[in-house]
Amino acid sequence: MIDDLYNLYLQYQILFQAIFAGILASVSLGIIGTYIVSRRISYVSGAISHCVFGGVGAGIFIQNYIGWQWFDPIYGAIISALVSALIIGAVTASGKNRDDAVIGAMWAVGMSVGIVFIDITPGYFNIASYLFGDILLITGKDLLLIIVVDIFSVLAALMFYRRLMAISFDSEFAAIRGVNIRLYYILLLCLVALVTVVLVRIVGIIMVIALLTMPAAMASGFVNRLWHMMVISIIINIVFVISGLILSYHLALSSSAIIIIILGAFYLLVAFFSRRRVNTAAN
Amino acid sequence: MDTAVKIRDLQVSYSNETVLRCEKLDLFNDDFVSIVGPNGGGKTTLLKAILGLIEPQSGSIELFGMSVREGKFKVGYIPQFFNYDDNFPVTIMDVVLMAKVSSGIWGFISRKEKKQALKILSDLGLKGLENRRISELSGGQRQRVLIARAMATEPQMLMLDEPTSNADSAAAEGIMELLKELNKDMMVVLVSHDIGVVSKYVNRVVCVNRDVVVHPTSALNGISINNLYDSEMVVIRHDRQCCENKEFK
Repeated sequence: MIDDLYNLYLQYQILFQAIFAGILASVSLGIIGTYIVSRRISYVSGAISHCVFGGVGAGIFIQNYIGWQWFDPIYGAIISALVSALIIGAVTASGKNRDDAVIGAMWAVGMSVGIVFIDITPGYFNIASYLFGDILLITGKDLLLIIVVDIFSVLAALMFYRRLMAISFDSEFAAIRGVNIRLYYILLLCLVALVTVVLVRIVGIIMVIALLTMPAAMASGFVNRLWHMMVISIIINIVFVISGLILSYHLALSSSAIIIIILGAFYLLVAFFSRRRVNTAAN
Repeated sequence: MDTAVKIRDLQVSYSNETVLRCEKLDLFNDDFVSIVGPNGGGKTTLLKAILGLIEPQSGSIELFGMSVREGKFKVGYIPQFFNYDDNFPVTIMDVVLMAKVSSGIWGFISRKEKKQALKILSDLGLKGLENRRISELSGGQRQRVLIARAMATEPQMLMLDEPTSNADSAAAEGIMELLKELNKDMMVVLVSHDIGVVSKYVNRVVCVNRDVVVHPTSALNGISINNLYDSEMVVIRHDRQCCENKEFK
Protein backbone atom coordinates (compact mmCIF):
# COMPACT_ATOMS: atom_id res chain seq x y z
CA MET A 1 0.00 0.00 0.00
CA ILE A 2 2.70 2.47 1.01
CA ASP A 3 4.78 1.29 -1.94
CA ASP A 4 1.85 2.00 -4.28
CA LEU A 5 1.45 5.50 -2.91
CA TYR A 6 5.15 6.13 -3.21
CA ASN A 7 5.12 4.93 -6.82
CA LEU A 8 2.15 7.14 -7.56
CA TYR A 9 4.03 10.09 -6.06
CA LEU A 10 7.05 9.26 -8.17
CA GLN A 11 4.92 9.02 -11.28
CA TYR A 12 3.27 12.34 -10.62
CA GLN A 13 6.58 13.90 -9.73
CA ILE A 14 7.73 13.13 -13.25
CA LEU A 15 4.49 14.51 -14.64
CA PHE A 16 4.78 17.69 -12.59
CA GLN A 17 8.37 18.16 -13.63
CA ALA A 18 7.30 17.74 -17.26
CA ILE A 19 4.49 20.28 -16.83
CA PHE A 20 6.92 22.70 -15.21
CA ALA A 21 9.33 22.29 -18.14
CA GLY A 22 6.45 22.78 -20.59
CA ILE A 23 5.36 26.03 -18.93
CA LEU A 24 8.92 27.37 -18.93
CA ALA A 25 9.50 26.40 -22.57
CA SER A 26 6.21 28.04 -23.60
CA VAL A 27 7.68 31.48 -22.85
CA SER A 28 10.51 31.39 -25.41
CA LEU A 29 8.33 29.34 -27.74
CA GLY A 30 5.60 31.99 -27.79
CA ILE A 31 8.03 34.88 -28.32
CA ILE A 32 10.17 33.29 -31.02
CA GLY A 33 7.20 31.50 -32.63
CA THR A 34 5.56 34.90 -33.10
CA TYR A 35 8.56 36.18 -35.02
CA ILE A 36 8.77 32.97 -37.07
CA VAL A 37 5.12 33.14 -38.10
CA SER A 38 5.01 36.87 -38.75
CA ARG A 39 8.21 36.70 -40.76
CA ARG A 40 7.15 33.49 -42.51
CA ILE A 41 10.34 31.56 -41.84
CA SER A 42 8.85 28.38 -40.39
CA TYR A 43 10.69 26.26 -42.98
CA VAL A 44 13.93 27.72 -41.60
CA SER A 45 13.10 26.34 -38.16
CA GLY A 46 12.35 22.98 -39.80
CA ALA A 47 15.79 22.96 -41.45
CA ILE A 48 17.53 23.94 -38.21
CA SER A 49 15.78 21.21 -36.24
CA HIS A 50 16.87 18.56 -38.74
CA CYS A 51 20.44 19.88 -38.63
CA VAL A 52 20.22 19.38 -34.86
CA PHE A 53 20.09 15.66 -35.56
CA GLY A 54 23.50 15.93 -37.20
CA GLY A 55 24.79 17.53 -34.00
CA VAL A 56 23.16 14.88 -31.83
CA GLY A 57 24.80 12.16 -33.95
CA ALA A 58 28.16 13.89 -33.68
CA GLY A 59 27.64 14.19 -29.91
CA ILE A 60 26.91 10.47 -29.59
CA PHE A 61 30.00 9.70 -31.70
CA ILE A 62 32.26 11.95 -29.63
CA GLN A 63 30.91 10.63 -26.34
CA ASN A 64 31.15 6.94 -27.18
CA TYR A 65 33.80 6.57 -29.86
CA ILE A 66 36.25 9.30 -28.94
CA GLY A 67 35.39 8.83 -25.29
CA TRP A 68 34.70 12.37 -24.07
CA GLN A 69 32.09 11.32 -21.53
CA TRP A 70 31.28 14.92 -20.57
CA PHE A 71 30.20 15.75 -24.12
CA ASP A 72 26.45 15.32 -23.83
CA PRO A 73 24.76 15.09 -27.26
CA ILE A 74 22.81 18.25 -26.26
CA TYR A 75 26.06 20.23 -26.72
CA GLY A 76 26.34 18.83 -30.23
CA ALA A 77 22.71 19.86 -30.75
CA ILE A 78 23.35 23.45 -29.61
CA ILE A 79 26.48 23.82 -31.75
CA SER A 80 24.88 22.36 -34.88
CA ALA A 81 21.74 24.49 -34.42
CA LEU A 82 23.77 27.70 -34.14
CA VAL A 83 26.07 26.77 -37.05
CA SER A 84 23.13 25.93 -39.29
CA ALA A 85 21.43 29.23 -38.30
CA LEU A 86 24.57 31.15 -39.26
CA ILE A 87 24.87 29.30 -42.58
CA ILE A 88 21.20 29.91 -43.43
CA GLY A 89 21.57 33.55 -42.38
CA ALA A 90 24.66 34.04 -44.55
CA VAL A 91 23.17 32.27 -47.57
CA THR A 92 19.72 33.84 -47.53
CA ALA A 93 20.68 37.39 -46.54
CA SER A 94 22.53 38.04 -49.80
CA GLY A 95 19.38 37.23 -51.76
CA LYS A 96 21.44 35.91 -54.67
CA ASN A 97 20.84 32.23 -54.01
CA ARG A 98 17.88 29.93 -54.26
CA ASP A 99 16.93 30.14 -50.59
CA ASP A 100 14.39 27.35 -50.66
CA ALA A 101 16.77 24.91 -52.34
CA VAL A 102 19.60 25.71 -49.90
CA ILE A 103 17.32 25.33 -46.89
CA GLY A 104 15.86 22.08 -48.23
CA ALA A 105 19.37 20.73 -48.83
CA MET A 106 20.48 21.59 -45.28
CA TRP A 107 17.33 19.95 -43.92
CA ALA A 108 18.24 16.58 -45.49
CA VAL A 109 22.03 16.79 -45.21
CA GLY A 110 21.84 17.59 -41.47
CA MET A 111 19.70 14.52 -40.90
CA SER A 112 21.97 12.30 -43.02
CA VAL A 113 25.12 13.41 -41.19
CA GLY A 114 23.47 12.40 -37.92
CA ILE A 115 22.57 8.95 -39.25
CA VAL A 116 26.12 8.32 -40.51
CA PHE A 117 27.65 9.36 -37.16
CA ILE A 118 25.34 6.96 -35.34
CA ASP A 119 26.16 4.18 -37.87
CA ILE A 120 29.90 4.48 -37.29
CA THR A 121 29.59 4.59 -33.50
CA PRO A 122 29.64 1.05 -32.10
CA GLY A 123 26.71 0.04 -29.90
CA TYR A 124 22.99 0.70 -29.89
CA PHE A 125 21.56 4.15 -29.17
CA ASN A 126 17.98 5.08 -28.57
CA ILE A 127 17.53 7.93 -31.03
CA ALA A 128 13.75 7.87 -30.72
CA SER A 129 13.80 10.36 -27.86
CA TYR A 130 15.53 12.86 -30.18
CA LEU A 131 13.26 12.17 -33.14
CA PHE A 132 9.99 12.19 -31.24
CA GLY A 133 11.00 13.88 -28.00
CA ASP A 134 9.95 12.88 -24.52
CA ILE A 135 9.09 15.58 -22.08
CA LEU A 136 8.83 12.95 -19.33
CA LEU A 137 12.57 12.28 -19.67
CA ILE A 138 13.55 15.92 -19.08
CA THR A 139 16.60 16.27 -16.81
CA GLY A 140 17.82 19.04 -14.54
CA LYS A 141 20.34 20.03 -17.22
CA ASP A 142 17.52 20.39 -19.76
CA LEU A 143 15.58 22.61 -17.35
CA LEU A 144 18.62 24.84 -16.97
CA LEU A 145 18.88 25.11 -20.77
CA ILE A 146 15.19 26.01 -21.02
CA ILE A 147 15.62 28.78 -18.42
CA VAL A 148 18.69 30.21 -20.20
CA VAL A 149 16.86 30.25 -23.55
CA ASP A 150 13.87 31.93 -21.86
CA ILE A 151 16.12 34.66 -20.52
CA PHE A 152 17.65 35.27 -23.98
CA SER A 153 14.22 35.34 -25.64
CA VAL A 154 12.68 37.75 -23.14
CA LEU A 155 15.72 40.05 -23.31
CA ALA A 156 15.65 40.06 -27.11
CA ALA A 157 11.91 40.76 -27.12
CA LEU A 158 12.36 43.70 -24.74
CA MET A 159 15.48 45.18 -26.28
CA PHE A 160 14.83 44.69 -29.97
CA TYR A 161 11.02 44.62 -30.10
CA ARG A 162 10.61 47.62 -32.41
CA ARG A 163 13.53 46.70 -34.64
CA LEU A 164 12.50 43.08 -35.07
CA MET A 165 8.91 44.18 -35.70
CA ALA A 166 9.97 46.77 -38.29
CA ILE A 167 12.24 44.27 -40.04
CA SER A 168 9.56 41.58 -40.06
CA PHE A 169 6.92 43.97 -41.39
CA ASP A 170 9.03 45.83 -43.96
CA SER A 171 12.74 45.07 -44.02
CA GLU A 172 13.41 47.48 -46.89
CA PHE A 173 12.05 50.45 -44.95
CA ALA A 174 13.95 49.38 -41.82
CA ALA A 175 17.16 49.22 -43.87
CA ILE A 176 16.62 52.75 -45.18
CA ARG A 177 16.10 53.92 -41.60
CA GLY A 178 19.55 52.62 -40.74
CA VAL A 179 18.75 49.25 -39.13
CA ASN A 180 21.33 46.56 -39.85
CA ILE A 181 18.78 44.06 -41.09
CA ARG A 182 21.30 41.31 -41.73
CA LEU A 183 22.62 41.44 -38.17
CA TYR A 184 19.13 41.29 -36.65
CA TYR A 185 18.07 38.51 -39.01
CA ILE A 186 21.05 36.41 -37.90
CA LEU A 187 20.30 37.24 -34.26
CA LEU A 188 16.72 36.08 -34.79
CA LEU A 189 17.91 32.85 -36.47
CA CYS A 190 20.24 32.15 -33.53
CA LEU A 191 17.30 32.54 -31.13
CA VAL A 192 15.27 30.21 -33.37
CA ALA A 193 18.18 27.74 -33.14
CA LEU A 194 18.23 27.80 -29.33
CA VAL A 195 14.46 27.42 -29.05
CA THR A 196 14.65 24.55 -31.52
CA VAL A 197 17.15 22.68 -29.31
CA VAL A 198 14.80 23.10 -26.33
CA LEU A 199 11.91 21.83 -28.40
CA VAL A 200 13.85 18.82 -29.62
CA ARG A 201 13.95 17.61 -26.01
CA ILE A 202 10.23 18.17 -25.61
CA VAL A 203 8.53 17.16 -28.88
CA GLY A 204 11.44 15.89 -30.98
CA ILE A 205 13.06 16.96 -34.24
CA ILE A 206 10.18 15.97 -36.48
CA MET A 207 7.48 17.88 -34.60
CA VAL A 208 9.37 21.08 -33.74
CA ILE A 209 7.97 23.00 -36.68
CA ALA A 210 4.37 22.33 -35.60
CA LEU A 211 4.82 23.59 -32.06
CA LEU A 212 6.71 26.67 -33.24
CA THR A 213 4.09 27.75 -35.75
CA MET A 214 0.58 26.61 -34.81
CA PRO A 215 0.14 28.51 -31.51
CA ALA A 216 1.45 31.77 -32.97
CA ALA A 217 -0.62 31.34 -36.13
CA MET A 218 -3.73 30.74 -33.98
CA ALA A 219 -2.97 33.80 -31.88
CA SER A 220 -2.48 36.04 -34.91
CA GLY A 221 -6.20 35.85 -35.72
CA PHE A 222 -7.23 37.50 -32.45
CA VAL A 223 -4.77 40.32 -31.95
CA ASN A 224 -3.90 43.75 -33.31
CA ARG A 225 -0.37 44.00 -32.00
CA LEU A 226 2.74 41.86 -32.14
CA TRP A 227 3.32 41.70 -28.37
CA HIS A 228 -0.29 40.65 -27.82
CA MET A 229 0.41 37.82 -30.26
CA MET A 230 3.40 36.77 -28.13
CA VAL A 231 1.38 36.76 -24.90
CA ILE A 232 -1.54 34.86 -26.43
CA SER A 233 0.70 32.27 -28.03
CA ILE A 234 2.52 31.73 -24.71
CA ILE A 235 -0.88 31.06 -23.10
CA ILE A 236 -1.94 28.74 -25.94
CA ASN A 237 1.35 26.85 -25.60
CA ILE A 238 0.90 26.39 -21.86
CA VAL A 239 -2.70 25.21 -22.22
CA PHE A 240 -1.89 22.66 -24.92
CA VAL A 241 1.32 21.34 -23.38
CA ILE A 242 -0.43 20.75 -20.04
CA SER A 243 -3.61 19.26 -21.50
CA GLY A 244 -1.60 17.14 -23.96
CA LEU A 245 0.59 15.82 -21.16
CA ILE A 246 -2.31 14.92 -18.89
CA LEU A 247 -4.25 13.31 -21.74
CA SER A 248 -1.26 11.30 -22.95
CA TYR A 249 -0.60 10.19 -19.39
CA HIS A 250 -4.12 8.85 -19.01
CA LEU A 251 -4.18 7.24 -22.44
CA ALA A 252 -0.61 5.91 -22.07
CA LEU A 253 0.34 7.36 -25.45
CA SER A 254 3.33 9.44 -26.59
CA SER A 255 3.09 12.89 -25.06
CA SER A 256 4.60 14.76 -28.03
CA ALA A 257 2.21 13.16 -30.52
CA ILE A 258 -0.84 13.90 -28.36
CA ILE A 259 0.23 17.54 -27.83
CA ILE A 260 0.65 18.02 -31.58
CA ILE A 261 -2.60 16.24 -32.48
CA ILE A 262 -4.85 18.26 -30.16
CA LEU A 263 -3.01 21.44 -31.14
CA GLY A 264 -3.52 20.59 -34.82
CA ALA A 265 -7.22 19.86 -34.29
CA PHE A 266 -7.78 23.23 -32.61
CA TYR A 267 -5.69 24.98 -35.23
CA LEU A 268 -7.93 23.60 -37.97
CA LEU A 269 -11.05 24.62 -36.04
CA VAL A 270 -9.75 28.17 -35.53
CA ALA A 271 -8.72 28.45 -39.18
CA PHE A 272 -12.15 27.20 -40.28
CA PHE A 273 -14.12 29.58 -38.07
CA SER A 274 -11.95 32.61 -38.74
CA ARG A 275 -12.38 32.03 -42.48
CA ARG A 276 -16.13 31.77 -42.00
CA ARG A 277 -16.07 34.97 -39.97
CA VAL A 278 -14.22 36.76 -42.77
CA ASN A 279 -16.68 35.40 -45.36
CA THR A 280 -19.69 36.51 -43.32
CA ALA A 281 -18.14 39.94 -42.86
CA ALA A 282 -17.55 40.17 -46.61
CA ASN A 283 -21.16 39.28 -47.35
CA MET B 1 17.55 76.09 -56.90
CA ASP B 2 19.36 73.39 -54.89
CA THR B 3 20.09 70.01 -56.36
CA ALA B 4 18.55 67.25 -54.23
CA VAL B 5 19.45 64.25 -56.37
CA LYS B 6 22.54 64.34 -58.54
CA ILE B 7 23.38 61.27 -60.61
CA ARG B 8 26.40 60.96 -62.90
CA ASP B 9 27.34 58.08 -65.22
CA LEU B 10 25.33 55.55 -63.25
CA GLN B 11 25.26 51.93 -64.36
CA VAL B 12 23.40 49.12 -62.60
CA SER B 13 23.76 45.51 -63.74
CA TYR B 14 22.40 42.20 -62.57
CA SER B 15 24.65 39.27 -63.50
CA ASN B 16 26.46 41.17 -66.29
CA GLU B 17 23.29 42.50 -67.89
CA THR B 18 22.96 46.24 -67.65
CA VAL B 19 19.44 47.05 -66.48
CA LEU B 20 19.87 50.78 -65.98
CA ARG B 21 22.08 53.51 -67.43
CA CYS B 22 21.89 57.13 -66.43
CA GLU B 23 24.43 59.57 -67.75
CA LYS B 24 23.15 62.64 -65.97
CA LEU B 25 20.13 63.32 -63.79
CA ASP B 26 19.52 66.34 -61.58
CA LEU B 27 16.39 66.70 -59.48
CA PHE B 28 15.73 69.85 -57.52
CA ASN B 29 14.46 70.65 -54.04
CA ASP B 30 10.98 71.77 -55.06
CA ASP B 31 10.43 69.35 -57.93
CA PHE B 32 7.37 67.16 -58.32
CA VAL B 33 8.74 64.40 -60.52
CA SER B 34 7.24 61.29 -61.99
CA ILE B 35 9.38 58.37 -63.09
CA VAL B 36 7.60 56.53 -65.91
CA GLY B 37 8.45 53.62 -68.16
CA PRO B 38 7.50 50.07 -69.08
CA ASN B 39 7.63 47.19 -66.62
CA GLY B 40 11.15 45.86 -66.32
CA GLY B 41 12.51 49.14 -67.69
CA GLY B 42 14.37 49.94 -64.49
CA LYS B 43 12.04 52.37 -62.64
CA THR B 44 12.25 50.52 -59.35
CA THR B 45 15.97 49.89 -59.87
CA LEU B 46 16.54 53.65 -60.15
CA LEU B 47 14.53 54.18 -56.97
CA LYS B 48 16.42 51.51 -55.07
CA ALA B 49 19.77 52.84 -56.22
CA ILE B 50 18.83 56.31 -54.93
CA LEU B 51 17.81 54.75 -51.58
CA GLY B 52 21.02 52.72 -51.30
CA LEU B 53 19.18 49.39 -51.43
CA ILE B 54 21.28 48.25 -54.39
CA GLU B 55 24.90 49.00 -55.20
CA PRO B 56 25.49 50.40 -58.68
CA GLN B 57 28.39 48.96 -60.70
CA SER B 58 29.71 52.40 -61.52
CA GLY B 59 28.86 56.08 -61.32
CA SER B 60 27.86 58.33 -58.47
CA ILE B 61 24.70 59.36 -56.66
CA GLU B 62 24.52 62.35 -54.33
CA LEU B 63 21.55 63.16 -52.13
CA PHE B 64 21.39 66.72 -50.80
CA GLY B 65 25.13 67.03 -51.40
CA MET B 66 25.86 63.91 -49.32
CA SER B 67 26.57 60.27 -50.06
CA VAL B 68 23.57 57.93 -50.32
CA ARG B 69 24.54 56.42 -46.95
CA GLU B 70 23.93 59.70 -45.14
CA GLY B 71 21.48 61.34 -47.51
CA LYS B 72 18.94 58.48 -47.46
CA PHE B 73 17.82 59.57 -43.99
CA LYS B 74 16.30 62.67 -45.58
CA VAL B 75 14.19 60.59 -47.95
CA GLY B 76 10.73 59.44 -46.88
CA TYR B 77 10.18 56.22 -48.82
CA ILE B 78 6.68 54.92 -49.55
CA PRO B 79 6.73 51.41 -51.05
CA GLN B 80 3.94 49.70 -52.93
CA PHE B 81 1.36 48.37 -50.53
CA PHE B 82 0.78 44.87 -51.82
CA ASN B 83 4.14 43.79 -50.43
CA TYR B 84 2.57 43.50 -46.98
CA ASP B 85 1.14 40.58 -45.15
CA ASP B 86 -2.47 41.29 -44.18
CA ASN B 87 -2.22 38.95 -41.21
CA PHE B 88 0.67 40.83 -39.66
CA PRO B 89 -0.59 42.18 -36.34
CA VAL B 90 0.34 45.86 -36.29
CA THR B 91 -1.75 48.93 -35.59
CA ILE B 92 -1.60 52.10 -37.68
CA MET B 93 0.33 53.72 -34.82
CA ASP B 94 2.91 50.88 -34.84
CA VAL B 95 3.45 51.39 -38.56
CA VAL B 96 3.87 55.16 -38.32
CA LEU B 97 6.30 54.81 -35.40
CA MET B 98 8.49 52.48 -37.50
CA ALA B 99 9.89 55.76 -38.79
CA LYS B 100 11.69 56.03 -35.43
CA VAL B 101 12.93 52.45 -35.42
CA SER B 102 16.59 53.19 -34.94
CA SER B 103 16.28 55.69 -32.07
CA GLY B 104 17.60 54.34 -28.75
CA ILE B 105 18.80 50.85 -27.89
CA TRP B 106 15.66 49.68 -26.06
CA GLY B 107 13.51 51.04 -28.83
CA PHE B 108 10.89 52.57 -26.55
CA ILE B 109 8.98 55.45 -28.08
CA SER B 110 8.87 58.81 -26.31
CA ARG B 111 5.63 60.65 -25.61
CA LYS B 112 6.80 63.43 -27.90
CA GLU B 113 7.24 61.03 -30.82
CA LYS B 114 3.77 59.59 -30.22
CA LYS B 115 2.27 63.06 -30.18
CA GLN B 116 4.03 63.94 -33.41
CA ALA B 117 2.72 60.73 -35.03
CA LEU B 118 -0.86 61.52 -33.96
CA LYS B 119 -0.53 65.01 -35.45
CA ILE B 120 0.68 63.60 -38.78
CA LEU B 121 -2.18 61.07 -38.82
CA SER B 122 -4.77 63.77 -38.25
CA ASP B 123 -3.15 66.01 -40.90
CA LEU B 124 -3.51 63.18 -43.41
CA GLY B 125 -7.15 62.54 -42.57
CA LEU B 126 -6.56 59.40 -40.52
CA LYS B 127 -7.60 60.76 -37.12
CA GLY B 128 -9.05 58.17 -34.75
CA LEU B 129 -7.72 55.19 -36.74
CA GLU B 130 -4.43 54.85 -34.83
CA ASN B 131 -5.42 51.69 -32.96
CA ARG B 132 -6.92 49.92 -35.97
CA ARG B 133 -5.19 47.04 -37.63
CA ILE B 134 -3.81 48.06 -41.02
CA SER B 135 -5.75 45.32 -42.84
CA GLU B 136 -9.03 47.01 -41.81
CA LEU B 137 -8.33 50.05 -44.00
CA SER B 138 -9.14 50.72 -47.65
CA GLY B 139 -6.44 50.90 -50.32
CA GLY B 140 -6.39 54.69 -50.32
CA GLN B 141 -6.21 54.86 -46.51
CA ARG B 142 -3.35 52.34 -46.41
CA GLN B 143 -1.43 54.49 -48.85
CA ARG B 144 -1.97 57.44 -46.52
CA VAL B 145 -0.66 55.42 -43.57
CA LEU B 146 2.55 54.75 -45.50
CA ILE B 147 2.77 58.47 -46.36
CA ALA B 148 2.29 59.22 -42.64
CA ARG B 149 5.14 56.84 -41.78
CA ALA B 150 7.36 58.58 -44.32
CA MET B 151 6.35 62.02 -42.94
CA ALA B 152 7.31 60.88 -39.42
CA THR B 153 10.90 60.50 -40.64
CA GLU B 154 10.88 64.30 -41.15
CA PRO B 155 11.99 64.02 -44.78
CA GLN B 156 13.05 66.63 -47.32
CA MET B 157 11.93 64.40 -50.13
CA LEU B 158 9.09 61.91 -50.52
CA MET B 159 9.67 58.96 -52.79
CA LEU B 160 6.68 56.82 -53.76
CA ASP B 161 6.47 53.57 -55.71
CA GLU B 162 3.16 53.34 -57.62
CA PRO B 163 1.13 55.27 -55.01
CA THR B 164 -2.12 55.09 -56.98
CA SER B 165 -2.04 51.45 -58.09
CA ASN B 166 -4.17 50.09 -55.21
CA ALA B 167 -6.64 52.94 -54.97
CA ASP B 168 -9.78 53.57 -57.01
CA SER B 169 -9.76 56.64 -59.23
CA ALA B 170 -11.31 58.98 -56.63
CA ALA B 171 -8.84 57.83 -53.97
CA ALA B 172 -6.01 58.15 -56.49
CA GLU B 173 -6.96 61.76 -57.18
CA GLY B 174 -7.12 62.33 -53.42
CA ILE B 175 -3.60 60.98 -52.97
CA MET B 176 -2.29 63.13 -55.81
CA GLU B 177 -3.95 66.22 -54.31
CA LEU B 178 -2.35 65.40 -50.97
CA LEU B 179 1.06 65.04 -52.61
CA LYS B 180 0.56 68.36 -54.36
CA GLU B 181 -0.09 69.92 -50.97
CA LEU B 182 3.01 68.25 -49.46
CA ASN B 183 5.08 69.39 -52.44
CA LYS B 184 4.82 72.95 -51.06
CA ASP B 185 7.22 71.89 -48.28
CA MET B 186 9.24 69.10 -49.85
CA MET B 187 10.26 67.49 -53.05
CA VAL B 188 8.11 64.61 -54.33
CA VAL B 189 9.31 61.82 -56.61
CA LEU B 190 6.97 59.07 -57.65
CA VAL B 191 7.11 56.02 -59.86
CA SER B 192 3.99 55.48 -61.88
CA HIS B 193 2.85 53.59 -64.94
CA ASP B 194 -0.25 55.77 -64.88
CA ILE B 195 0.86 58.79 -66.90
CA GLY B 196 -2.77 59.86 -67.30
CA VAL B 197 -3.33 60.39 -63.56
CA VAL B 198 0.03 61.89 -62.66
CA SER B 199 0.86 64.11 -65.61
CA LYS B 200 -1.38 66.99 -64.56
CA TYR B 201 0.34 67.22 -61.17
CA VAL B 202 4.02 66.78 -61.89
CA ASN B 203 6.35 69.37 -63.34
CA ARG B 204 8.87 66.94 -64.77
CA VAL B 205 8.86 63.42 -66.09
CA VAL B 206 11.82 61.05 -65.96
CA CYS B 207 11.49 58.34 -68.58
CA VAL B 208 13.25 55.10 -67.76
CA ASN B 209 13.65 52.33 -70.27
CA ARG B 210 17.16 51.05 -69.58
CA ASP B 211 18.25 54.64 -70.33
CA VAL B 212 17.11 57.63 -68.34
CA VAL B 213 15.71 60.68 -70.16
CA VAL B 214 14.19 63.77 -68.55
CA HIS B 215 11.30 65.77 -69.98
CA PRO B 216 9.37 68.77 -68.77
CA THR B 217 5.70 67.74 -68.73
CA SER B 218 4.89 69.88 -71.75
CA ALA B 219 7.49 68.11 -73.87
CA LEU B 220 5.72 64.79 -73.38
CA ASN B 221 4.03 63.98 -76.62
CA GLY B 222 2.79 60.94 -78.42
CA ILE B 223 6.03 60.25 -80.20
CA SER B 224 8.23 60.21 -77.10
CA ILE B 225 5.79 58.02 -75.20
CA ASN B 226 5.59 55.56 -78.09
CA ASN B 227 9.37 55.41 -78.22
CA LEU B 228 9.51 54.80 -74.51
CA TYR B 229 7.05 51.95 -74.50
CA ASP B 230 8.05 50.55 -77.90
CA SER B 231 4.42 50.29 -78.99
CA GLU B 232 1.43 52.42 -79.88
CA MET B 233 0.02 54.13 -76.79
CA VAL B 234 -3.15 56.13 -76.45
CA VAL B 235 -2.07 59.49 -75.16
CA ILE B 236 -4.46 61.78 -73.36
CA ARG B 237 -3.09 65.25 -73.11
CA HIS B 238 -3.99 67.56 -70.27
CA ASP B 239 -3.02 70.71 -72.08
CA ARG B 240 -4.96 72.93 -69.76
CA GLN B 241 -2.93 71.99 -66.69
CA CYS B 242 0.18 71.07 -68.50
CA CYS B 243 1.98 74.33 -68.18
CA GLU B 244 5.66 74.33 -67.73
CA ASN B 245 6.30 75.79 -64.33
CA LYS B 246 9.99 75.25 -64.28
CA GLU B 247 12.80 75.91 -66.62
CA PHE B 248 13.96 72.67 -68.16
CA LYS B 249 17.64 72.08 -67.66
